[in-house]
Amino acid sequence: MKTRILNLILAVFLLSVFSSCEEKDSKEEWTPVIASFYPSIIMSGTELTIIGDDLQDTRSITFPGGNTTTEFVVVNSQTLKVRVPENIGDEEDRLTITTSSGVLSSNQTIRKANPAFEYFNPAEEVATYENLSIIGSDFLLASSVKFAGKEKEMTVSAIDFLRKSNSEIKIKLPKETPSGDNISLKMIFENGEEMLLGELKVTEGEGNGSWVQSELVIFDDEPKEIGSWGNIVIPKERFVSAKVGDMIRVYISDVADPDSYPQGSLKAPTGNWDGLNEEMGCFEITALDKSSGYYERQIADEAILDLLSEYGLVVTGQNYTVTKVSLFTSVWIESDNDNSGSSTDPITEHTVMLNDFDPVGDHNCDWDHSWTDSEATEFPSDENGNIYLYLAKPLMDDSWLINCNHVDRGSVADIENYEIKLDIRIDEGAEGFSKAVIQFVIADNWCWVGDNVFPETTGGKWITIRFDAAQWLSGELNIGSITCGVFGNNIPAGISIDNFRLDPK
Amino acid sequence: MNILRYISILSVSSLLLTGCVDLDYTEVTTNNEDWVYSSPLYGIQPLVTSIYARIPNGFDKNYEGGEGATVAAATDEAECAITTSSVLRFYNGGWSAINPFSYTWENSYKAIAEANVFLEKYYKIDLSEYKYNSGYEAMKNKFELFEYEVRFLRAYFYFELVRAYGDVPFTLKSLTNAQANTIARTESAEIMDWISSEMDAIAEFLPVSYLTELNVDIGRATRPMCLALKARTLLYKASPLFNKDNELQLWLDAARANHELIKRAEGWGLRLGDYSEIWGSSNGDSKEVIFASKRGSRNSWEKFNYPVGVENGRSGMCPTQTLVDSYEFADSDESFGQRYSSNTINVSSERPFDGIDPRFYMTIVKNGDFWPNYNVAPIETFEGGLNAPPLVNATTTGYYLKKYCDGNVNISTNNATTTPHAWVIMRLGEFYLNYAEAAYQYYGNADMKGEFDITPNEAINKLRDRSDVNMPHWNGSSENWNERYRRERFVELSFEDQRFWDVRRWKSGNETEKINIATFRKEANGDILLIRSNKIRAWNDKYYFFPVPFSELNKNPALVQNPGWN
Repeated sequence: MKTRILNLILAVFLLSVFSSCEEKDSKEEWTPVIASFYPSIIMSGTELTIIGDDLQDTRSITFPGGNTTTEFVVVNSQTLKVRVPENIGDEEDRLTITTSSGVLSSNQTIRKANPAFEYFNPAEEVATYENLSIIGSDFLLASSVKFAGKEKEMTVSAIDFLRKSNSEIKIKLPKETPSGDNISLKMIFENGEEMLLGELKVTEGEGNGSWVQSELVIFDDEPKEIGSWGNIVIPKERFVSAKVGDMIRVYISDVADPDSYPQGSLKAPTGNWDGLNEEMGCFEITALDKSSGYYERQIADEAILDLLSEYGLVVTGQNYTVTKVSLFTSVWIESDNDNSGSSTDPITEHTVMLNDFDPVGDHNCDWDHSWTDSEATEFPSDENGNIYLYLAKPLMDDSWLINCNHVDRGSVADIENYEIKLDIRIDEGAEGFSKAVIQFVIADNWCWVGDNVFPETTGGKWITIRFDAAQWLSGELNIGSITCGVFGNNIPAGISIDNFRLDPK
Repeated sequence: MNILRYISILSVSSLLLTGCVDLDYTEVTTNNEDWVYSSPLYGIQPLVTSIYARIPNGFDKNYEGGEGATVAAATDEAECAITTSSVLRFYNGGWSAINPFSYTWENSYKAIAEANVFLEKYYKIDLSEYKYNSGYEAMKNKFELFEYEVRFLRAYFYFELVRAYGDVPFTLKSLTNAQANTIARTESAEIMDWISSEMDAIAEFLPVSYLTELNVDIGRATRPMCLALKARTLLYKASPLFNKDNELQLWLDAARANHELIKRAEGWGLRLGDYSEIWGSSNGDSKEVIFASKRGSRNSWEKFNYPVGVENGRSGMCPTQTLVDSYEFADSDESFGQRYSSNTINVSSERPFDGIDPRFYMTIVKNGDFWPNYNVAPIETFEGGLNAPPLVNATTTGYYLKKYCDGNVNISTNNATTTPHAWVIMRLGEFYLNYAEAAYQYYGNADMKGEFDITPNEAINKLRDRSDVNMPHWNGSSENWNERYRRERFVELSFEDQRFWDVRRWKSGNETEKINIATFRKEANGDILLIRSNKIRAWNDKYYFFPVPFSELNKNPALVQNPGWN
């Protein structure tokens, strides 16, 4: 009996040893196979990359619809690159490859892209510096969008899109965008095909920006040896943006020894070539100037600025070489709202504002947080006087973060076509916001979301968070003055909130 | 009883032997595949986060250093005061193919295998069950980006491999272990070209930032990261280690790629801020940072690098006099080493640190500084001082490290605090320097713009114009421009894991053989003397590339060892 048991156990043991490893681990031979390819949607003329094994003997590649090409590049045994042929079928299908040893079929399916435009957002009018979304489908192969007016065209390349996905292309309109009532938009694809998107009214926006100290180079030709009062004349046009207080910096090299009296001189090319002022007419180039590689003088008053604006500048002196001349001035730099400042969606005429903490009639921020822990909330205002909520203490138990706005907001047709939005900003270094549990209350409809409503950080900026109202609501929604708010728990301190609203998708 | 014992032993043995060790581990191979690809949060997402988690960072010591030391202590930047640190093996003869630093090889190939598997299976992702769930749109948006993020990560890990090993096995397809052990090395230039074209292919699909996404995530691959990886890769490709014939076209390619990034940077919200913003508790969100690995709240870096004499401080990486010698002064282009070259400097009377580049004070702790912020006694690095030899593990170079340390972090046993730390992998400043180097190598003139809108000197001046640096501008193309550039890069990027690789790509490893260090001595009259000396670290040209681990050579007969390591 013992022997039988032992033999049985031994048999099980040996079986398990020999059957233990999967074939995957022991398989050494290379057999032709298609492992993956990208992109997964294609158009005639676009490039497809195919990854696999043992592909060097590929004879042909067949696309959906049965169209076969023999023109491809074998990069190596694992990679093929192929230009998609004409007349591929509309049906999604597997990709097949014929090699010397047989026909391979991909696991993944591939299909022809059928780009379709649906609408613009905003729908009819957009200003330069503002964001435009182009909504549709199969946009992955878009390489650019062209804006055409009567006299001017401008193209935005894919690398300059704010965002490209299969269903949306988002562009911040550059200031060079042609403006007018009927600006035509076209989407251009990697294969050169174009799709007319329609027309938009484009206006010139003001943009946002700030004055930034900047170096404007006003002379950078070949270095000029000044020798004995040689000179460089810089035309007045280079001083268009000059202001009182700006600095003129002259970069120098080959400065002679002090006993050769190297001197600088900044003059105006008037009849007498007078110095910009008495001191600037002739001054010593010091050892510090020499080691710094430049000397500089300030446009200290209107008189100097007038000379520069009317006549320009002469740089002269003796015993040194001028390599470059710059104007240090402040220039207006356009800021990119989406990336550097606030990243909030605009409030438009179509916005249904539920609560923004600003006074509306008798209602103000005191009303809007009257159900909230009054010690936890503060209502600061920004530089434009806009009031927002700041959570100074955490709300760990169930609480109203925003409780209501008893102002009549009327009704909204087809609420499923709206997004619930909230502008938020999280203090840098504050933590734990993704764990806050939140539900929205829209006209007394409780819309449960759960955690991950807030991100862990907004990088110290204002951002907009959005939720599809269709998840909870549909049809006509009578809002009136029925309760709208944000309810939740486990909300850490350090979040600012504003503009609880509904926006069309 | 004997039978039972026999059964038990046999059963255990059987279980052990049936569990085939899977060196190609991924979440996919250990979970039901259908379940994985239909489970967004617990199935699919971990496949991607697992790859992200492999990104090396200096804080976690996975740059091969061990014991808190990064590779800064394996080059002329620093000396590791902790004598048991494995970083010493880089130059003490303990580095070999049998005893290799294999982290980069193993970690990168695991990441690449995971990426390849993901890219072969992601078409199976099925979110249809979640269509009516809250947050579906955000989930869909997030998952649509995974393909491009994973392609970025795969390229990043290939860069890590090529930088360390040169030619390496290259596959874009998942392999069986047996197959993986048959592939030969692909030329580094071919892999670098692939990285470059891969970044061109995917950049436009990735967002510039995730702040405008429905999921405001941090640390995920972005468009600037793609351009940065391409730019860095092409700089390496143009450098002497890889560009043996000094093909000028490669320098032009590198200049173009780096210029494209710095040209687009401002529109993407990237800009140079203060030098001191590169580290500290909010550095991960700094405007300059392109790619950072946020590591959460901690104080381990401070524990490693605060001076001995500060409670719980271990000295860690001590900046060398070689690094100190590279800082210039505000009143000239002389470096510290040029101005103060004598063997003994009276620090009290000569005041040699007056007027030095402000980056010195932000990077290095010297005798007399108050550090960390809560320390009420000044640091004493002179012999017999509070933070100096003969204390065990006290500085061996005369200095302590400040950069990347958050001076507000308290490491004392009773009042310990932590703050968020982020390891900077790519920042804009590097790419100004990369551009300056590549454009200068191509044009041979540091004041020439050529096809670009900025000269090499102007690119460097951008860094020197930071409000907390404010150093004089560079101009002209003096004979020693290249030498001065390397000094500037050394200073600007110190302790950011750049120098170790820079000296290799420049093929100037032998110049790091002699490490200058300082000893401080307090005289009877109270004067402090800085006494120069040096240490020799043997350099061997085989160090230009890491040895392929012997264990890998054993498994794969197609692999050939790097020169000098056989």
